[in-house]
Amino acid sequence: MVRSLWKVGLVVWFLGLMLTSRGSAFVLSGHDWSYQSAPMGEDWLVCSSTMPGGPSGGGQRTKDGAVGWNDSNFNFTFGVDACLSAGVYPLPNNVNQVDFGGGLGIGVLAETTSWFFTNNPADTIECDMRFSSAVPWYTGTGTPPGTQFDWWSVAIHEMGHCLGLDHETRITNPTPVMSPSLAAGEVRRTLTFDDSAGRDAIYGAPSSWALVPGGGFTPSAPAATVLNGDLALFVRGTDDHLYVNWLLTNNQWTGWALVPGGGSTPSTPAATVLDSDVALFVRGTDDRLYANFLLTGP
Amino acid sequence: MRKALRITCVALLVGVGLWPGVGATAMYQLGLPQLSRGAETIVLGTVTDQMSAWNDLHTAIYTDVKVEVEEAIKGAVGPEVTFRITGGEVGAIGMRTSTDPTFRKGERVIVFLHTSGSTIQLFGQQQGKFTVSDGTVTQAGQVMPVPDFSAAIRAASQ
Repeated sequence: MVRSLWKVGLVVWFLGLMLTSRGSAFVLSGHDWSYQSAPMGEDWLVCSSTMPGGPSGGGQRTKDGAVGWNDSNFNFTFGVDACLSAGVYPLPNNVNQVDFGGGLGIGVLAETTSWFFTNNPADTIECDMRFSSAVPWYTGTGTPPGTQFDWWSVAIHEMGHCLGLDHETRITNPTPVMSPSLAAGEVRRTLTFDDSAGRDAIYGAPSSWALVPGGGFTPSAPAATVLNGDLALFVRGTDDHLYVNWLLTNNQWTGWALVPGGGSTPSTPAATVLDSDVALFVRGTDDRLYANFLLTGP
Repeated sequence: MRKALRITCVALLVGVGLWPGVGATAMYQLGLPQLSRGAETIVLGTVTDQMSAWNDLHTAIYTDVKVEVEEAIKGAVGPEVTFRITGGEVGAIGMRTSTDPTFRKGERVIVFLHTSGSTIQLFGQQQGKFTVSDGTVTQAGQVMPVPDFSAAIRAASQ
């Protein structure tokens, strides 16, 4: 009897965990531009003349970092490069200024300042950004040497702050661009699933449907979870077996494969991640609940 | 046995020079040895008050954070210490940076301070603040009892 109660408790705990689990761990800063009809459509001005490499160096890499966030809901737009803040950072002057200079703290590569009205703190009204002149920069598009910091990687991180994202420290595989630290020689120029999910949480997911690669049909709703940055999609096939299709961090799908363990189910599965294992729960044909821990990823 | 475990833990942290990455925006990571040696003063205490104002040029808002000192882990301080962070709210305008932490009244913290300048500031900005919760320091998912953390700081400071 005690053992049965223990089992029931375990199942309830797992179900509770599934209900409270988040697929992503992005952190919102609480200030963003989602109130605008065309977010990020306000001109950004880059003071590129003083940046390492000039307009084609730090200037262009700043824009490359911004473009990395663009989707169907918004696009960063830039005015003609200009220095309208006269080297003062930050400066509330209705200009979204990006510049290069000193005055940042020890250990800081770049900083973003968001301005807002206190009666409506959720709405960003201006965003200023400074790259530190106290550290050695790499402003090319290749691989930076181990003695220089990659401007492009820092730019995409800082633009994430302007969008309304805060630091993400809990995910490391893959490391999001919103991770707080970057080592010299390290490159992090493309969004991870977590970064995109954060952006979409604020501005909405790109509005288009596409067939999941791999084809096939299902009589039930799917279940999904994320393991080490890979998305696992589970469905019940028309033969009542369970199938999984992994979306890898390189945005490639593995295709459908039978879930190990065999068996059949008449219902929708449920999935979550616990201690780096995928936990999959199904209703058996005998109406009992079954758990399957997939110890490895795709 | 527990003491031996603590000593081993502290020795590992100091010897390897590793500490959870925390954060200032797009920063290079300051390990515990760098933080401990770079900060002239390190205190454990509780936030009792905060006051925000514009700087003299009216280009930025700063906030003075007052902490009631419970323990001076490094350096000599009085019963209270006040340090300045960038960001805050004054009247209708608010400002927040990606590198400065925020504090709340009643929050128990360990702060690494740069006290040799004209204004006391956090050393390493976000990296210089550790929140204490239930007697432990939690940062970037790592949990450690305050006495162990203090011992690690003292060892790293030498």
